[in-house]
Amino acid sequence: MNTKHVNVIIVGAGAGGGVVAKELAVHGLSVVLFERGGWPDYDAHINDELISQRTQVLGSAFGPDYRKNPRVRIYSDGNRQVVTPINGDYGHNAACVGSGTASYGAMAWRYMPEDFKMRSTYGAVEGSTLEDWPISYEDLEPCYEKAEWEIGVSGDDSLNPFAPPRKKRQPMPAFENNRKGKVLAEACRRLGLHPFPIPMLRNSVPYNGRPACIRNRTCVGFACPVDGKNGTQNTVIPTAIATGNCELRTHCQVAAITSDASGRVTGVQYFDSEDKGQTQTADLVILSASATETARLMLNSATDLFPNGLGNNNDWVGRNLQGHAYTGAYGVFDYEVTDFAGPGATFGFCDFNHHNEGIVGGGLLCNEFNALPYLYTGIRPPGSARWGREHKDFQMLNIKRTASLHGPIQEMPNFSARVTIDPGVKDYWGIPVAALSGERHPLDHEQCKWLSGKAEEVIKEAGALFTWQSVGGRGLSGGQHQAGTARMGNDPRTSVTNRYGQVHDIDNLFVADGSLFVTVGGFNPALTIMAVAYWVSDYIRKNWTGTQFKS
Amino acid sequence: MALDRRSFLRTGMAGFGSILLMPSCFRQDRSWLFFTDAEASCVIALCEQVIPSDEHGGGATEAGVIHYIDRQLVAVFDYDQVVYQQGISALQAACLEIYGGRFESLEPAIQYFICTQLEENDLSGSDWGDLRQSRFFSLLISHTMQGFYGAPRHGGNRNYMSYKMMGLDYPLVVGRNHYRQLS
Repeated sequence: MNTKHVNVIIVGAGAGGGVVAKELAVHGLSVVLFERGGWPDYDAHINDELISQRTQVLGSAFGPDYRKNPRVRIYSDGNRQVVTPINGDYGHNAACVGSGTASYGAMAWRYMPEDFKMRSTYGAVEGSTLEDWPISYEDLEPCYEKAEWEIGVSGDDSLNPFAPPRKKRQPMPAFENNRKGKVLAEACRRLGLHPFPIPMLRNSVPYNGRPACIRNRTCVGFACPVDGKNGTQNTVIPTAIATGNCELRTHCQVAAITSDASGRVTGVQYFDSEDKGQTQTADLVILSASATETARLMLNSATDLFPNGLGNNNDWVGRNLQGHAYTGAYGVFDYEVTDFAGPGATFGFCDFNHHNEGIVGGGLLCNEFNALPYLYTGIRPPGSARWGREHKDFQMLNIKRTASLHGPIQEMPNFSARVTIDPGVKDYWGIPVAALSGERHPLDHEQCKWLSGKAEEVIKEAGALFTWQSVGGRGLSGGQHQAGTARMGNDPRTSVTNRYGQVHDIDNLFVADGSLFVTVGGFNPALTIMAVAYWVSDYIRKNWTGTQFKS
Repeated sequence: MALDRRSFLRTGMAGFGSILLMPSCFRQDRSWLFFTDAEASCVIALCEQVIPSDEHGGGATEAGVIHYIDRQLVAVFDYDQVVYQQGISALQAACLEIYGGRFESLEPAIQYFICTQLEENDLSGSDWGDLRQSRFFSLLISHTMQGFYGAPRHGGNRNYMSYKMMGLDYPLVVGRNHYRQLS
């Protein structure tokens, strides 16, 4: 295999890595983009709920392979269990070109200015490492705009009084509301709330050479059969490759980052698509492998200068693992309120994201994505039959009569919720695996209860026959919105990278994914991961001299 | 053991698809990838309790849920093999002890009652060892739901019968805009 020295290695071709690859390849840097999975293939998984990204009981079509990629989960009682991607405690995220952006629900949120200033807005929270980001919404605003136009967003902020300021509209018009959305949005307005169409990384009209969305029932959790959903796999990554400067290596598992005696990184060791060990050298290494795997890679790359893992001399790598506890409520109506047009989530409201009495942050609420038949078997009011005639009747009568409002609560970062390396368990390639331990901050569950109550009020107002809450916020976070494990900050003692994603004390090692997030906002994070990747890329481009950084 | 069955089935797949339509075929030797015929009869009866047939349509048996479970027990769910073997064996011992017959031979109302006991870890009459009854039954519920409501290509949900029951189109009409149709 060709392992000629290149300018840049990027590990992980997801929301962050895809953007960085394109930005740097277009700028003329030679790039090798590593991805442990392959290209997503619609025909390989079609509309099969049991291998979708939401219900991966038979393993996800988008990877990683459940037989090759174990992790260890350490519970609060000290019990250690080996978990796999088909096990709920794994904290699964897709492993394919595009990663989650190939199969996501594609919500395209800009975080609000307060989301970057949680500590100064709300003060310290006991037991939490709640902090401000070292960058502001204003810093990221041009990057959001770039993400919206280059990757493609449909939306219209004009009905959202809480929308952060923007210089330029989103490139495509907003999507229409669906049936349950109309019913619930009207109830919102009666209650004085402010519903508006969800911004989506999907084409409401043909865009960028690809067709408009067809409202496919099996949207979220699946790749799009007409390619009307925009991820890095059908936008920036093909652009990067087209420059001739970027080589994408799929089915390659990066094992460790290599360093020289001065502490600078020199490249990576990896296993190629035939499981052969290889070395690739580069001037820069950029980690975009998601909060769990980015941390694992840093921790698995200890040197004499960094005996606890690269960038980890202050013990912050792998800490503050965050994600989103989803919380909300369901209601059953006496008529068919759900039409199963995909993806099913059409409107949201930000009245509960910030500045609510007694709440630190809060969260968005949206009408939920389609609950497909197997997923729906678990959606029942408390005390309902789990099986038998009663369960079957509920399924038959109510699958189209159920509507819900759910949202991601802004989690409080918890120093003890973390990724470490398991001393014993190794993956298929012999690489020590990530061990996940700790719990969410107790405030998360309390705030989930509050937000679920708000959701239930709206559903009641909409005229549901009966309603119930589903309250999240317990256990360990992570999963598809995983973030926080290589926090950016101005103080090297309490962060892993500087405000540009550059690892403290290692000037040629960068992070460009959700790991950098100080806090995760009360919104789906994909657009913000993309924006942060543009931000990091911009810094690298401006300071690149041809073979290294300006000192 | 699973390997033996698997290698047998490689040559025996031909008659596999018609088994559900002809209950007498259950007695064929080695009809299954994982289960013995006796185990399969028990699981079929259990699954039918989880999703019974009624006037609105067939249940787990008609949907072929047993094929889904049997296939997955030698594939993705291979780590659940012991739970099934242990659970079925303990359940049958209890049924013989209390009712004098195997689970699948009992009246449906009694089967139902036994399932409510399994759910509550309340079935006496046999030793379950380290396996909790509710764990066995919960696993069976999950697998039955997957087989009944999941994609037919995994062996269950014959002809999308559960979709028909729920009024969902089958197979999925890709690109059809339901919203436009309804408004």
